[in-house]
Amino acid sequence: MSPEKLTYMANQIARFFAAQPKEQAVVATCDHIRHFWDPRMRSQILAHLDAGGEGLDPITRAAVAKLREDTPA
Amino acid sequence: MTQLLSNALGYPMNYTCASEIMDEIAATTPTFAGVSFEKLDRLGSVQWPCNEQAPEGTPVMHIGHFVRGMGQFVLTEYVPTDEKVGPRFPLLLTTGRILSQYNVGAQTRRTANSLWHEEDRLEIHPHDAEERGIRDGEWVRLESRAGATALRALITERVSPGVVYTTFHHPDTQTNVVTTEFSDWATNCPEYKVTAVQVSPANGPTEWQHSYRALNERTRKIAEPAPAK
Repeated sequence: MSPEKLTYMANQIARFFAAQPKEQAVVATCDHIRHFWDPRMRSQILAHLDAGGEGLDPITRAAVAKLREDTPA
Repeated sequence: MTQLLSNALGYPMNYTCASEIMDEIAATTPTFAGVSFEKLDRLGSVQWPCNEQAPEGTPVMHIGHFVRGMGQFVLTEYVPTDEKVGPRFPLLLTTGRILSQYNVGAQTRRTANSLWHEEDRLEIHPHDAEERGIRDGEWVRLESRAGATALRALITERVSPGVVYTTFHHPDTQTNVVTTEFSDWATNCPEYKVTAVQVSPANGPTEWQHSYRALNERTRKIAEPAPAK
């Protein structure tokens, strides 16, 4: 899947949680990606973050960074 | 049959009756821990959870509290679709099933109820039809940013002005050529209810529908049996 499509999907998830306090929104977005995305999609969004993460909204970026912290290298 | 297949694939399965399967479910699923064929025969039916706390099941769930305690209200943001109507595609297409057909075509198309739905029709409001010079029963071209197909129109007030509707039961129409690749954020369910389209009069099926029909006939042809020697 293209980085643009993954970014679009991740930003939509973050948008749903955006009305909640930022820390909760980040955790909820990260949880959704962790539980419901295919492992290949998770690897791709992590690679996209490592490459600069163009287009990721602030909550999405923090959520993917959290996913990175929790994912063994 | 399932046991034979399972054993052949290397997972030993040697139940002698169905109650042994129920016992295994009860042993591995906490909410079914108290269920057995003996209890089902005695009570007729058991609503889960059925365990030590509720030996005869739970006819009404969530009395007084939820599993997590009290309910939790969560503030959520509406995530609208990015599919929008505009001057090129001013109508909104929604697609769906009809009860009498309900996906028989997705399976064999060999059950008699397929006769109740001979073709997909495009339902369009009289105002929208008049504006476009479309008459009932005539072929129309249905086009979106994703693709186009042709089918016959059904003029009806069942749909609102600005909205058109069709079913997706027939491969000759392939309605999903027209729907987009958008999906919802939570479940990735394809967005079949919101597609911006334009509808115009047509002379008949589109070019791809002609070639699809020919391909379909060719690939289903059964070869003549070889003459006996």
